[in-house]
Amino acid sequence: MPTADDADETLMLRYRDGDAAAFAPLYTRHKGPLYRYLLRQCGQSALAEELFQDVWLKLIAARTGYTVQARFTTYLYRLAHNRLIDHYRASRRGLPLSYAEDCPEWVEVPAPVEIQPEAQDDRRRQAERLLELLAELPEAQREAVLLKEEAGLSLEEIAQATGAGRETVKSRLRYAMARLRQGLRGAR
Amino acid sequence: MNDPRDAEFHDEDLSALYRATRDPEPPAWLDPRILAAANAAPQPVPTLAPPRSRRRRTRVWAVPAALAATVVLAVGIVQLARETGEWSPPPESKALRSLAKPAAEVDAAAFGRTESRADHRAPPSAANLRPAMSRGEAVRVAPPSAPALPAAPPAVLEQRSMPHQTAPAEQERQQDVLRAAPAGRRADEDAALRDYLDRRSPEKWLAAIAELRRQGRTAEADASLAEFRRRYPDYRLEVVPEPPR
Repeated sequence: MPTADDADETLMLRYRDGDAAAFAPLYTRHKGPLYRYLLRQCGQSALAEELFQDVWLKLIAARTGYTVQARFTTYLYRLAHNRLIDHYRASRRGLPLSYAEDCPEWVEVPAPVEIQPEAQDDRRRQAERLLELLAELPEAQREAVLLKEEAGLSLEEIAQATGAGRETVKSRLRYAMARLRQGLRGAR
Repeated sequence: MNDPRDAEFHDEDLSALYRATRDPEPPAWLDPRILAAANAAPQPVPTLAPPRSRRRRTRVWAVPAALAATVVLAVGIVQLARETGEWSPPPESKALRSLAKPAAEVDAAAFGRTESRADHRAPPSAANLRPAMSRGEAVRVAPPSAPALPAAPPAVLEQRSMPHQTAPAEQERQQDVLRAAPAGRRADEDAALRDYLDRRSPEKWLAAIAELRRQGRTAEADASLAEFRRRYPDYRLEVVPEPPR
């Protein structure tokens, strides 16, 4: 557990003030979760690597203006979310419908296929099934789950990172969790 | 997810299962690239910092320094004025000053001084302070028994330093009166000034008051009239006469 001296925010402030060595522990701590968040949101490793690189470069470029207004993790994932939204907007498909505040959470999602219990006999397969179910979720719901599980953000922090309202985040998470539970029911 | 309200959205089994999927890591070739970018980012240059902080320090100290300078200057002026007896006079001098001030105003009105109200409200400038300073200098420099020096009798300096014009004849008379007093002797000066004021006729004074009223300088006129009544309690005053046309 990070102490006050090596807390994310302290490290980022030190990096902002010219201590280049403070960046490495920050990077090491957050690179895995951030990469998986991007990979599972965009679904392609090459694209995820590009976005991953962009997010860190953006953090480096924005370091001089950094102030502690929230957890560093929230700040980092806010950058990542914005980069992802830019990517969606630039793509042919455009911004996914699920990001609309008034979008019903059940649209775009086919009911999860019931899986035969005999096929769910080990944890690895369950985990694979979870990832399949996750990939089938609308982007906004999936993002909420990933920010909760990978980044460990609270509802409020997810709302801050994604720029959505707290109630919207609650709604996205509620539907996502229900769908994941439903899809995994046979495996429990 | 420490908020108890978030418990509705937390499923420990599901989270544990998700943790089992945390395999993919960013490719190793990305690490040196990003770390190199972080190290190569221009860091704050130490030599640039001091001028910025010096400027900030200067800005921070500017207001207190200005206040301190103002206080020092004010205390110096007050001390100087006290030395010369200007601002802490004995009761007699105070009375004299109360006589002299409205008189000066009446004189100004009578001799066509065009001093605006804004001038009265304006803070004391260097020019306004100069007469007091000159007087102080003169008092200190002049030996107590020295005869009056035509070049630097304090009251004369005060009169000359005023920016407005006074009627030549009246000015000459004032200066004659004040020159008669030996330099450095305030009691004599005050007596001379009182003598001069006493010699001014009540009619002239009332005409000046009327002129003040005509110019709309009611407060000054009232003050002057009050002073007039103090000076001439027996003078029968029915109507303040109109100024001469």
